[in-house]
Amino acid sequence: MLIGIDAFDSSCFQTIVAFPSFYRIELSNSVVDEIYIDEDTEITDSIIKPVAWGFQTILDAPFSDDSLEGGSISSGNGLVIDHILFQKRKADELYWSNVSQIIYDGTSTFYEAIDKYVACDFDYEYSLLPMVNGVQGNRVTSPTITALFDGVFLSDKDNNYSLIFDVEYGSREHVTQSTELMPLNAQYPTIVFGNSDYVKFDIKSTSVSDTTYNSGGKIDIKQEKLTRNKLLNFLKNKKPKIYRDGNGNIFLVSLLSNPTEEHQSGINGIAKVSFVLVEIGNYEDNDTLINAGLLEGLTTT
Amino acid sequence: MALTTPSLTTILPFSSTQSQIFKFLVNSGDQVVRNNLVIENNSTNVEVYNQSVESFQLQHILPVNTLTNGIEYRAKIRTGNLANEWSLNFSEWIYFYVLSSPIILIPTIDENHKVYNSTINFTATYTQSESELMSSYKFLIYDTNQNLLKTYSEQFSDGTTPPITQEITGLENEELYYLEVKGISIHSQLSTSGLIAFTPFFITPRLITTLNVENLPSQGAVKLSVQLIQEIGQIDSGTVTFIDNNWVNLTNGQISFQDGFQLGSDFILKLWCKNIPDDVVFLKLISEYGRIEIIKYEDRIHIFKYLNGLTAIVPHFISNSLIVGVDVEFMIYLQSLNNALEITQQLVV
Repeated sequence: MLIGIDAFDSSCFQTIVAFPSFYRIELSNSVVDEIYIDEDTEITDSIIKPVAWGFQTILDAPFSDDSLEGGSISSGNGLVIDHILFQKRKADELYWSNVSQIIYDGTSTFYEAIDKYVACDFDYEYSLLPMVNGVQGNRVTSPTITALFDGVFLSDKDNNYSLIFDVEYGSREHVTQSTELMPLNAQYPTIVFGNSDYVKFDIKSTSVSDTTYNSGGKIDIKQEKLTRNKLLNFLKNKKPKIYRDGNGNIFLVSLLSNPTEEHQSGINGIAKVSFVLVEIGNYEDNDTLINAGLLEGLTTT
Repeated sequence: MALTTPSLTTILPFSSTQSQIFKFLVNSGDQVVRNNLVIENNSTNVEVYNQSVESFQLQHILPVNTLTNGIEYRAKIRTGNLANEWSLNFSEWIYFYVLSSPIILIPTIDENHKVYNSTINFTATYTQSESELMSSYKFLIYDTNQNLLKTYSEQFSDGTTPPITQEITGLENEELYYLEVKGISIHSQLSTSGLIAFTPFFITPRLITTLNVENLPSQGAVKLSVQLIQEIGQIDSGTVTFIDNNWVNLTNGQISFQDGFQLGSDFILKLWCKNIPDDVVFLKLISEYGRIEIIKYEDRIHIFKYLNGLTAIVPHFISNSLIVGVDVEFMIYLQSLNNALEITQQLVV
């Protein structure tokens, strides 16, 4: 045996033949229990069979239920999945709410969804369901994740704006209704309460474009103006939005009053933007979000 | 003090096969110790009921089968005191219908109390012997414990056209539900189907994948990503059979995976198998540029790499030694890393 090389007890030759990829695998002349292929090369030679499909798994065919299926989709009796539905719930809650629904046509391998409606520092659990003609399949759940971010974000289904510089949180007013009635024959008044219960608050922040941010401080006046205009147009589009901030607040809001721009003296191009928002609904209610057009791929039924 | 004129409360349509309580109100006056209820056929003016009862309660119970279904009646009442005096006047007439109880059935739920989808357009039928038409209806769905899950919006119908329908979505497979249809007729007769148990049964697709989540701090969001591949093995030749619902017998046949199969150069492969004969290829990985073939020879597994158009150089890799008997399961582990192949085999115990 050469030093470190045993020509019979292990494979030792560095091949000079390299194949960048394979498009087909054939099996024959055997009785097979399961075949598993994964591009994660750190998977050891343990004889324990895989229990879940990994992010780099290529093939896992357990040949159970008289089936030759080896993918991450078990179509079962010829069912063809037409959509996949992403759902979420707070880690300590029971009920799932929709995040988005994506058309599945089998031409793509990777599918993504972005959940912009999360409260900072809250724990979430996500799940995925295959769908066939509205019939939901099994639920695949994710590990729990804590949403973490700084600053203020305003979003709808298609837009996402961040305000992270010089954010000034105004006081948040919790609006409720009550009336004091003073009966003539009583010492004390009677208080009558209404049903209103929402918040109203104002935000002020310095708007900074990505160009300026990435240039190390050199202000691109044109980009600053364009960035502010986009933000203000978004604020003024009269549509419901989701507000969230690094303090764990999240609200379904609408712009209440006129947003303002306030240029900084001595710094050309930079301005502060301020606006007042008012809560207009429950951001956790699926129907409310769907009616507000805030969920991808989901419409009112 | 004297007796004052009573007033009867409104009576909703009821079936003659049920007793009916006629309640009335009196405003001040003597203590009421008896009452006298008179009912007439509203079409013929024929008196069909005239009875007095001794009771402190301000009500009169009409016995079953006193009236006839399908007829409109009118009723009035007067009250009596301890001095055997009657109130000077009867109450104003009230008018009411006596109608057979409607029958509401939900044929969408079969005799086995099953439905066969997650989204069901439930249809109900409404029949009433005297052709009393339905005015409106609503569906109510209850969970396993008969707790109300949802009341669907009220819909208007004559009970025949259009049919009584309600689409219900999001039913969970193999969960027990109860469904109820409540109706109101044109003369305000209430009806119900009662709580009908049903269980949805349907074939569902399955995913065997991992849902990845990651924070996107710059977007204040969470990204979800998933890899979905549909790969169904094809039978290329010979006979392929399944054993014990867990093994595929390829002794006389060949299968392949190609649609959806896309493998890079670095990977691991595990094959749990048995009964591999000597010196025949049992696994082949095919590339655009060549192929990898795996055979068993005596106690070792051998790998050969063939480059298209190049036959002189055939890199050869050999596993460890393992004596495997007939019908003994073992696992082959192949690792391809930086174009080098490592192969081992071990018994599955």
